[in-house]
Amino acid sequence: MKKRITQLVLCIALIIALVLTTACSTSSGSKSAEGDKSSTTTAPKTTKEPITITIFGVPTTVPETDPIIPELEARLGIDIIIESTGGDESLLVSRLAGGDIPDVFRVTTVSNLSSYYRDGVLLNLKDYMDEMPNVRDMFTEQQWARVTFDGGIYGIPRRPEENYNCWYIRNDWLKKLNKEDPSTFDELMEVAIAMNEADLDGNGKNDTYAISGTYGRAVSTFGRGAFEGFWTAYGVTNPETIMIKDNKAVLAVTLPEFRLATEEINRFVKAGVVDPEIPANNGDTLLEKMATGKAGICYGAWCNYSKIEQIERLTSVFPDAEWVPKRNQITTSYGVSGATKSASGNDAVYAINADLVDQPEKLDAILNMFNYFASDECDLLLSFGIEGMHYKIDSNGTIVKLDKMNELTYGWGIQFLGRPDMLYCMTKFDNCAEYIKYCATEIPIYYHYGQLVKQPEGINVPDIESYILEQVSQFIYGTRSMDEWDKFIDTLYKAYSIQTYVDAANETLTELGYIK
Amino acid sequence: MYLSIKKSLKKKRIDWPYLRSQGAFLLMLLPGFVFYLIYLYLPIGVAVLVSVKNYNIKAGILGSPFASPWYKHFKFFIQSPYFWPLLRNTMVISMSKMLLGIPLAVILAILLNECRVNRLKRIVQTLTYMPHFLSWVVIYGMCFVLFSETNGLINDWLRSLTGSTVPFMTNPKIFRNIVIGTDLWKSTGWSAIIYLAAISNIDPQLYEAAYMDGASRLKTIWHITLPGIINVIVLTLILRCGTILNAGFDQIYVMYNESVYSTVDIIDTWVFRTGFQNYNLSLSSAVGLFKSVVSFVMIVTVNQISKRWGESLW
Amino acid sequence: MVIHLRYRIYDLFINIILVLIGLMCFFPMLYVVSVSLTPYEEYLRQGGIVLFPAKVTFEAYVQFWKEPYIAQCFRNTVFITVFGTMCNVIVTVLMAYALSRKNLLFRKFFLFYCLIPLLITGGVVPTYLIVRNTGLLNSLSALIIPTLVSPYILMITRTFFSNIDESLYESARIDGASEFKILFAIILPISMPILATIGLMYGVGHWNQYYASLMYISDSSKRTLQVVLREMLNRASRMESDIVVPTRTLQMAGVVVSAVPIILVYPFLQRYFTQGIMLGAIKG
Repeated sequence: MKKRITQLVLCIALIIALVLTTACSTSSGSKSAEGDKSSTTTAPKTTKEPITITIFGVPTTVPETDPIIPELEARLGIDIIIESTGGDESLLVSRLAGGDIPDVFRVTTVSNLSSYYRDGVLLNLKDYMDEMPNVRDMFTEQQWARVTFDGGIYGIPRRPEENYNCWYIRNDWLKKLNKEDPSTFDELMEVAIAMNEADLDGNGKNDTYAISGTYGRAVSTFGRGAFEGFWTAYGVTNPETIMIKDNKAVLAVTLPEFRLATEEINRFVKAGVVDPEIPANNGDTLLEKMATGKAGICYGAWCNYSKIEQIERLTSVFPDAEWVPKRNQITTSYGVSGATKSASGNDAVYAINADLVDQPEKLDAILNMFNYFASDECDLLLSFGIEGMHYKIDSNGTIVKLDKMNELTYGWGIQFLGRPDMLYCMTKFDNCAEYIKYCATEIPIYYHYGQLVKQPEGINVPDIESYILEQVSQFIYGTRSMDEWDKFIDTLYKAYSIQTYVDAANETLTELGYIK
Repeated sequence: MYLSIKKSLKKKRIDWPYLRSQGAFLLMLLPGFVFYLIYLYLPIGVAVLVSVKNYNIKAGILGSPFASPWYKHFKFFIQSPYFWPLLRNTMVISMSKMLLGIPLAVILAILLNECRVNRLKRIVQTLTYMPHFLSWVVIYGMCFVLFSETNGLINDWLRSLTGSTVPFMTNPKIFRNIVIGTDLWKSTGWSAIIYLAAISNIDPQLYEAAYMDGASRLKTIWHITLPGIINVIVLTLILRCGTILNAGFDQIYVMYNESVYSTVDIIDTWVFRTGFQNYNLSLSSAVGLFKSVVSFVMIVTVNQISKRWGESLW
Repeated sequence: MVIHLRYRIYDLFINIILVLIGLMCFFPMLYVVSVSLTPYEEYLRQGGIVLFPAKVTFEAYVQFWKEPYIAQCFRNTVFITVFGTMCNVIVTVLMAYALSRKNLLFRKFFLFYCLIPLLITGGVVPTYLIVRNTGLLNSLSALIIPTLVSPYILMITRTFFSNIDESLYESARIDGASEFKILFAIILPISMPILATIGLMYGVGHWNQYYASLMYISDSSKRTLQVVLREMLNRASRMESDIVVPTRTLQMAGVVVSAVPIILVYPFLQRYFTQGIMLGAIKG
């Protein structure tokens, strides 16, 4: 009997021991953060082992077949460990809160960057700028200002992307209806009603809503929203964003123009030409609606209408469907419809662990790495891949895409400092070149600044944003009457204290030089 | 140990079998006990500390300064204009899921048990269990196929019958029912498993005796099956009450949108927006503790009530 | 005769309801499989409503199998599900048995000790801190050890054990059997339904978990299948020109690939749920 018990106990102890040892062996065997600490301290003794640098927060998973990172490692003589998070900031938050600070990490918003700065996690790069002249010269003063806190520089910005968004319209439907590309809201209304009534999808049912898109938090590859065209035509940005009007920071929703724009949308909704479930749409459902002829005017990015695979999808039901950017911008006395854009560009910023001051060798390697990222040679590698494999350079010196470049769908994640966007997109998506150029150069841009503003004490910015988005959607769809608009703005001031937020924005934007 | 020794001494003879079995019990409890201590209790301690401090990454948990007043983060949550709506939405969704979900799962388990066509029983059992494995993203996609106002099946049908459509996906009240309904669809088969297991633990002789006595099948259910599993039902009910403020983050995060915030925005989605996407650890810990306190009150109350039926967790 | 007829009607009624319930689950599942087998263009042409694929293609499956590290992730998931569930069940059963015994010393203390974590949880970050400080980060054991016992499942198991007739223990004790012997030789053999249930619950929990994997494991090749699936599903909600948006057919294929293996486990466990009744049948 006793034997049995001891056997059992031994068995259980064995299992637990087994689990624990596998745990320890795998964690020490792998190249975890702890692993490289020990390697760097022993490195100087004998043969120089390459320094290992962990880059955390890369938004794509780099596949096992990737040739670019190995090439980069070879060129720099270092080991790079890419830790991808899918762009989920909460993973970085737990990682940092756990006291486990990666060497280099990607922070998705400037406001979070300032929190990490406050906690003393970030390395002040000011004194190291001379060691990375390429990086120093790559960005403008205003771009540097975003990552500057109390005179120190705490992050490396990313080159902003060009504008991708504009109104897209079914050109073949316009032709069928014998209509001109509208340039005022009245004309737009006329076209939309015609599209609704003509039953162009030919299913004998009155189920077309000319105008569709997405709204609010459903950020997708389709861009920010169905109503961006309406708001910008009245000179305002998305409702929950901070914009600069008359040299003062304001919340877009509080402007009288915003109310006018919303009334305009409301008019379209009442006419029955706006998809009633825009807030519930996401990329998939919207694509299905567009492909099946349920919508004719959508706001979005060129990549969703003009990339080869998207064209295939959009023409699968109606082979002559032709989605083109709307060439005439809608104009009102307040503005011209265009696109909104965050003044902070692409928000993501790379930051360096402050503790690395104690490991000068590793820090040198990291600075050197970033300096290399900012060089033309590295730009070619990270943007276009390896010469001869992904691209070639023809006799005129222009970059020509080879078939293999299409496999680099994850490439944007490892373009650490961004890319020469126009050149990049026009090379990679050569069939869309015309539209890329159009969106980037001919669409008026309206900037918003909210992401630059640090959340003031006691104010809950996400609450403000979700309240505004929720209420505006109700005003748009008429579940709340426009007569109550003033009451809504009043609530914003009283219950949500937006004045404090706007004051903070004024202060920050003056500091950054956006307000003079 | 001390007590037992005293007890054995009283008998003037050491009760070796008793001591031996207590030793065995301790051995059995040991691995779990250690696990609980490290992975369940330590984090609670950490969370309590973090929630009353202004957490600073560099200073760590112990070094971070205390928030002033210490309940600052709790106050921030409770004073949010969203607090009451969030609490209400969370409660309504979670309660409906619980009060509909448990009876449905019990009914399904009983139906399966009553079924005497073995093949049908197995097939239905497997089928009802499968939706548990679908991601919410996919279920949302299927909801669109059914309920969309522009190209959904049901609205297509309504349009040709009545000429009008129902805004299933954007009307706050209707959408809340869709949230609850899809959850029931997804989880009922899965939760029925536990009741099935309970039913198969009932002594078969009881059924035979009832059959001999000529009891009707419904009577058998009422007098044998249900009493046989009532303690498992009560147990799941009590345990479910302990998580009453978890209304299903995964589902709602995928499915909700601005036009239905008023009914389906829940505490967890709020915390995710404020505490995680924007870095505010102390706040999320404070809300977590708030939820725990509510669970605690709930579970104690429900347990007291269920004691009257002779069922209790402790 | 009358009783017989009533029984027949009753059976018929039950069967019809069950068939209806089954269909409610069958059609959506059929839809998922059909869409995954349909070419995307065809799917769009049908307006998203495909119950029986007119054309069949395995394109979507081929594509899903090209996701980065999928083979390794699949292996990892199988490993943690099999090995993790074994550890879970052993520890849980031992604990539940001890807690279910009325003569356990300090029984109330132990009960409360196991109950409290059900109500209060530390949350994501504090747990991360502990996992990190116990040295589990970036290893598969981080997906097994921190979830070794689920308080919920422990309580359920304990309730099942306490339902067992006390006389069974008494007779065993008179025979002089030790507690371990009672547990393994007497209690477990008659508890197959609950063992199957908790094994299934733990197993499915391991199979479906993705957050821990995302959180504790930074090495892409050590992640689990669900992470690959989520990443693919989330890709559509990105603003980035490079991304090839995953089609609905690819999404469905991903769901099928990542669900079928665990669904297949169920029929094997099913016989344990009916075991009690079968025992009775033999006796009768």
